Amino acid sequence: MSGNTAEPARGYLTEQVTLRYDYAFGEVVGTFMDGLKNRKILATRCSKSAMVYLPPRAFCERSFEKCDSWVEAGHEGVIEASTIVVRGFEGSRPPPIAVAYVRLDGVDSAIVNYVEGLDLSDVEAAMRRICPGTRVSVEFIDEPQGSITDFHYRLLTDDGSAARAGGR
Amino acid sequence: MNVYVLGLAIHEPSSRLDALRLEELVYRTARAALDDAGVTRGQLDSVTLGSCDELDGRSISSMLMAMPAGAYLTDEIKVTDSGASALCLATARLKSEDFDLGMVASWCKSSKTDVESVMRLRGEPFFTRPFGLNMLLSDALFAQAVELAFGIGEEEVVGRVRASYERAARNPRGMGFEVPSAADLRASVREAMPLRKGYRAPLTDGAVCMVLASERWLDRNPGHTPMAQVTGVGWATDSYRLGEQRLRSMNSARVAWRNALRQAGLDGAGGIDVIEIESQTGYHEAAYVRAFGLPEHVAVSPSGGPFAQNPLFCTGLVGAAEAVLQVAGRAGAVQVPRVRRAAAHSCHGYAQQGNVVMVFEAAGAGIA
Repeated sequence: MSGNTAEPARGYLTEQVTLRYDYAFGEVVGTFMDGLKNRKILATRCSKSAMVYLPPRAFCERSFEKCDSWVEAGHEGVIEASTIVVRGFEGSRPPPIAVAYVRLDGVDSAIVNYVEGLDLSDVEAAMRRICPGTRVSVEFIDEPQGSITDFHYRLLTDDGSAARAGGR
Repeated sequence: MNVYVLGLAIHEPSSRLDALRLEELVYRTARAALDDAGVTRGQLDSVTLGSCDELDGRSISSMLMAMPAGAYLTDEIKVTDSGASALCLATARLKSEDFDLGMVASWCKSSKTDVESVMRLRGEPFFTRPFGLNMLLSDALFAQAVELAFGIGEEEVVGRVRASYERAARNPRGMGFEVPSAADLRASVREAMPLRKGYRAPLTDGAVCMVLASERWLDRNPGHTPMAQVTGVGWATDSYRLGEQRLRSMNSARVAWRNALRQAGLDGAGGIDVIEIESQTGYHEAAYVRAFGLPEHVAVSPSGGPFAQNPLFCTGLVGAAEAVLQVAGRAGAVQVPRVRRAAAHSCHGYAQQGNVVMVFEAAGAGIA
């Protein structure tokens, strides 16, 4: 149809709407966050399907039964998907940042978190180091607060220890 | 009950459409679609809207937008997944035989607010939002996954993006962006690995409306000639979890594709002449042509797809309109010769969680 690009703009109203939301943890997230304070990563398990969910779910998507037990996830796992955000990042820290979905040992789903200790001066080289299939370990911050950012991932070195800042 | 496209209108796209407010944009587009179909608003018995409240900047935006879409004293319903999803619902409504003449209207002013903040708001608040999950980040995860799953190289991505811009440059309904050189694309800034800025389709503002008619309505109104028959619609949704299997399998895309083809009476992509794919990045097109198993003869996104115009929420419905124009022989400079059957694909959600496929066939057979 005929357009209007020749039509003049008549001005516009700018409005910034600020909303505050209080998201209740509920039973499952509350237990998970309490676990983080004790440096434990807790997943939920459905005895009917044997699925272990991390992030934890209150119910099993497959069986539609309530997840009926808690399982402590391992502190190592394998990267399933990853990226390094170079610009335009809206997370809790300035870019560049590396994030990865990691399936921790003993669970059936991947959970996203930052990957620390990477040399990000060469993002292409850094991406190769966090490609899917790479094993990582979990590292907690010194004083966990009960937040998902209480922990992050680090690459495992050849001897199985966590890589430190600046690379292996 | 067979369903037909009686007429349509695609509004001229713009990077930032400040000359019109939303209701003016939608009224003009809906009115043009009615005129194209040769019917009046009073003849409509149903209106199906596809729009996003957060991007419209108004909750329950249909309270304002139903009227300019032609819904005065008419049954109206709204879909919030995508414009293409609205077409699926509108088709189903006519197939129910409760309705006979429907308007599908979708619009999006991507320039109106910060789209990535809206996308981030869609993330789960405890486990994903703190990591800034948005369209860029989830598209980057998807790109990495399909790069590994299909062996898609960066040179192929550059080639596909350039080819899309070249086709888009010929599209009279596109933005007419300058075609970037391969060197420009390779040198564009990295945004989220492996995506460069140049590999992503620029967002635009726009609107699209379609008038659908049942076979019963056409039988009762013999003076009208439909543009196309809607012979297949399929849709599916994947898990919200962005793990390896979810990202690599493209399961919902494959299911939507199979279902749409089955409805259209096709047992493969061989009967398709044209497909419009919602390729938000060059990786998307490379992945979808593989997932759909498209043979060489299928013309992929002759309109240029999102690289012609990309009003995010309704980009898929714009692609559907382009597919209808192809089977109607009205696509102008991007017309592919002798198109009997055209498909359109749309996706929505993080890393294409939801997929929609529509099949359109040249109209005429079976109409009294």
